[in-house]
Order: sequence, then structure tokens, then C-alpha cells
Amino acid sequence: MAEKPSITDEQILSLLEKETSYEQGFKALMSAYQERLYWHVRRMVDNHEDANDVIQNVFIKVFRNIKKFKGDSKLYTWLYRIATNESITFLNKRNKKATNSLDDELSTVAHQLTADTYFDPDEAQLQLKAAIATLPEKQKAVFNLRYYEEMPYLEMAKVLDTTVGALKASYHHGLKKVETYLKNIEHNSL
Amino acid sequence: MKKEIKEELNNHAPLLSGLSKKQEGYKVPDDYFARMEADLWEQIKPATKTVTEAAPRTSWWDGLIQQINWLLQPRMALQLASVALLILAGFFIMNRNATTQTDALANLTADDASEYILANLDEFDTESLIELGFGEEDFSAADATLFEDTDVDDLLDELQRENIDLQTLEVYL
Repeated sequence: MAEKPSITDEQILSLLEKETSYEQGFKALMSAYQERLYWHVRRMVDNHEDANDVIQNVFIKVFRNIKKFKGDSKLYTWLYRIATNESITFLNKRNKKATNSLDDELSTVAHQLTADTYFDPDEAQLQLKAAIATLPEKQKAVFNLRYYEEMPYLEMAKVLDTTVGALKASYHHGLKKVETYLKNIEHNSL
Repeated sequence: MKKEIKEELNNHAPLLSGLSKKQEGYKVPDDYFARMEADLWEQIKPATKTVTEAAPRTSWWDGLIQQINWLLQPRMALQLASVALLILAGFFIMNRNATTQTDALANLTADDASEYILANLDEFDTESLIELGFGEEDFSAADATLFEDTDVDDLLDELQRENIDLQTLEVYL
């Protein structure tokens, strides 16, 4: 996980407001959030090429709309919300395409994971990723934000625009599904 | 890891809590993030205002001299000479053809033209023939200039005075 940014969100926004300091603001935002958002998107879509496409769209949207950001929420929350929404939209499209495809083998999660040249997991991680990939898109986002990003429920509620209660239920349910998937694999391998 | 999150994992997914989060197996190409930043900047950077240095003010005479000097550069001069030569050659060729055609027409007599038209009458439409003087002729304008109404009245009076009847008149005509 990336370190906390040394520059505050307010400072970044202030730099981006002025034409003279816009480039500095751009670099500050990228430095603070580029990697964090990339890894969030990558965990959502798994494949590097897809993650690259999605993250480009995310940042283009961010910088085109940064002046509309009114500061009602934290910049950090706003960025995660855009990244999550873009990832979910992408996954929906990809899944729709895979469902329409006659070649079932190509559409399997395992194939997508192993086809990525930038993915070199150990056996346990491959199983975990395969387990997470079985979750519905929104539950996958909840799981990733809590499990990998260790985000507080309150922040997650702002990112995903839902209640803390609904998030807790979704996360616990997701945990159970992943745990069951892993147990089944362990059981079958014995 | 935050205590709260660890407890959640221990309680609901003990297998998962034993896995390392740090070695996910994901990789990115070398310098990926640096390149992403540069690529992205190219896409979103605000349209930069190109500040052009104000050219020193020069008089129209200096400008003209500069233009002439530019045109007299060896390469430009050669190109201009070639273009001028082509224009001149074109002018001569066109002019020569035009003169030949004019001369040929000038040598034609009215009889030659009429003969040609009569021999190829089918090739001309009626309007063209009228324009050329063949077919129906409009004498009204000529009559109007030759005879006034008073002239006709005088002639009739004279005929009456001289007792010249129409048959005698026809003999004279």
C-alpha cells in the first residue's frame, strides 16, 4: 500500500485552481494517488491491460471535472468513487461480452488471470484471486476496499454511496463466500 | 493491519487471515507509473498559450527588400524562372493558335460560308440559321427607316394627279 501523501488534498486542489500552478497540482495529485488508484482498479479488473485502460479513463475524468469538485466530500473519497465506478462499468461490459461469447474457456476467470503476463502469483494468491473474482462487482469493490485498502466503513459508505450497515453485511457475506471457496479448494486437493 | 479489520477476518474467514496481502503477484511494466503520468499530462494539459516574440518593427521598404531578397535566393529564383518560362511558352502557343484560326476565318468569303451552310443545312438549327441571315427576315425595321407615312401619302397623291393606274405602275416597276 502506498504511503500517505505528504501534501494535503486542500493544497492539491488549490494548486489545480490556478493556471500557473496547474502542472504542479497535476503532479502532486498523481504522486499522491496514482499508484493507490491503479492498485484499486487492478484488483477490480485483475488484468494489467484492462487496468491501464480504466485508470487512464479515471484520471482523464478526474482532471476534466476537478473544477466541478466542490469539496463536499474529501478529494480522496471522490477519486476512489470515480475509480470504483469506472471499474464496475468496465467489468459489467466485460462480463456481458464474455456471456455472449461462445468460447466458454476464454471467458473463465482462471484464463483471464493466467493470461496476464504481469501477474505472477503463488498458488494461494491465485486461488484467492479466483475466489474474489466470483463475487458480484459491487461486493468485490466492498471486499477490496476493506480487505486490501483497510478503508473505514464510513469512508467506504461515501465512496460507494451506501450505508455503513449495508456495507458491513456485504463485506461479511463476501468474506464467507471467499472463505468457502478457499475451503472447497483445500478440501478437493486433499 | 488495523485491529478491527484483523478481528473481522479472524472471526469470519480464518483461512483468509492467514494469507499475506503484500504478495499479490501483480506486476506492472518498468517505469509504468512515470510513463503514465507523462502520457496523461499530454492528454489533459491545458492549451498552452504560445507566446511569440514581437517582431521588431520595420518599414515597408525594408519589408519589400526582404521579400525581394527572399525571392532572389538561388532556389527560389530558379523556381520562379521555370514558372515564368512555362507561362510565356503557354502564352505563345495559345496566341499562335488563335491567330491561325482568325486568319483562316478572315480568308473565308461570304459565299464560301453560305455554300458551307447550305451544304450542311441539317447541322444547323432554325435559330442559328435566322441569326446567320437565313430563313425568315424581319423587314419591319428597314421599312420603318426607308419610308415615312407621309412619303406614302405623297406618292399616292402624285399617282392620282398623274392619273397613273396600278397596271401602268407595274410596267414601270
